[in-house]
Amino acid sequence: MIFNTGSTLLDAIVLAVVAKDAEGTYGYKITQDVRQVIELSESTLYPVLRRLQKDECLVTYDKECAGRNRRYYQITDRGNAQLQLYKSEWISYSTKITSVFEGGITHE
Amino acid sequence: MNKTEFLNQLALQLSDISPEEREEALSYYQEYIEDAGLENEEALLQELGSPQKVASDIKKDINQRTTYSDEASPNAVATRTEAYNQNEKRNSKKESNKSNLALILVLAVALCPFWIPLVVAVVSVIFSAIITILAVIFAVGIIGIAFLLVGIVLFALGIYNLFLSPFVGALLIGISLIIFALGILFTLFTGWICGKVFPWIIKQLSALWHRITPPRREAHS
Repeated sequence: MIFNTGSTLLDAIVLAVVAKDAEGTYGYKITQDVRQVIELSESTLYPVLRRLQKDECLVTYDKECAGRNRRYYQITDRGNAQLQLYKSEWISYSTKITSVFEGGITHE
Repeated sequence: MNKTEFLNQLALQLSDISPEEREEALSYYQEYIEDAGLENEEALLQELGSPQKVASDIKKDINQRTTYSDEASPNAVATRTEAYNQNEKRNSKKESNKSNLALILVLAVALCPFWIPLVVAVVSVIFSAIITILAVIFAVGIIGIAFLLVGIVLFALGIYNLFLSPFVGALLIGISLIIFALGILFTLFTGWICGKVFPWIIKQLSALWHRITPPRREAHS
């Protein structure tokens, strides 16, 4: 992968990954899921999750699991709205880039 | 380095942020390492890098959004800084634009006792000037028509007088011709103003209006 993933795109990917699980998901799993699609160091996601939480796009709750605590992240309505925005922006962005690559620049 | 050592070091590195922030970060990384499982622990700690690096990432993001990039790319660092700077610039520009607009609005409201009478005065002067010009043009047109009529009447009178007194008749005919000529001149002038100059002015004004208010374009983000 030679393209940079900007922080906005990373937010969008994280929101999409968290949104997959209605019950919420936890830090380690989110990181592994995101790492399926982009290269990412293990320590990158904590600040992102923290910020999304501050922005009220994610909420957390703690759950006992195998004798220890685990923090789960869940998407909020606001997070979902944000994700929809990101998705539609991504479609228009990627469509434009693809059309330029294929030589079909259209002037509207 | 094992898990406990890593967490202790991280706690030390994060000693200058708020206790809540520090507690959250530490429990996140503790859970994270535990979720990775004992067998992966060493590899994971290797991957996470030094506690210093992890701590600085956390602290950086407390104030700033950064661009995360592919570490394998040789240009990663350069591109990241560039993107980061651009973001910064854009943000500060937006900020200053916003505050400028607010300042202008506040000034406009505060100074309204001064500029409202001024605007009213300027508009009335322009309006009265336009009315005056229109009135003059209208008057010239009326005079033109009146001269044409007077010219015709005087010409008829002149022909009638020619039989009574040839001198008076000739004089009247001469005057009537001059007045008739003036009438033609004035009428033509008014016709030219109404037919050519007015449409031209209106066209210029509408062009000017279009230039001040450009057609709405789709906003690009």
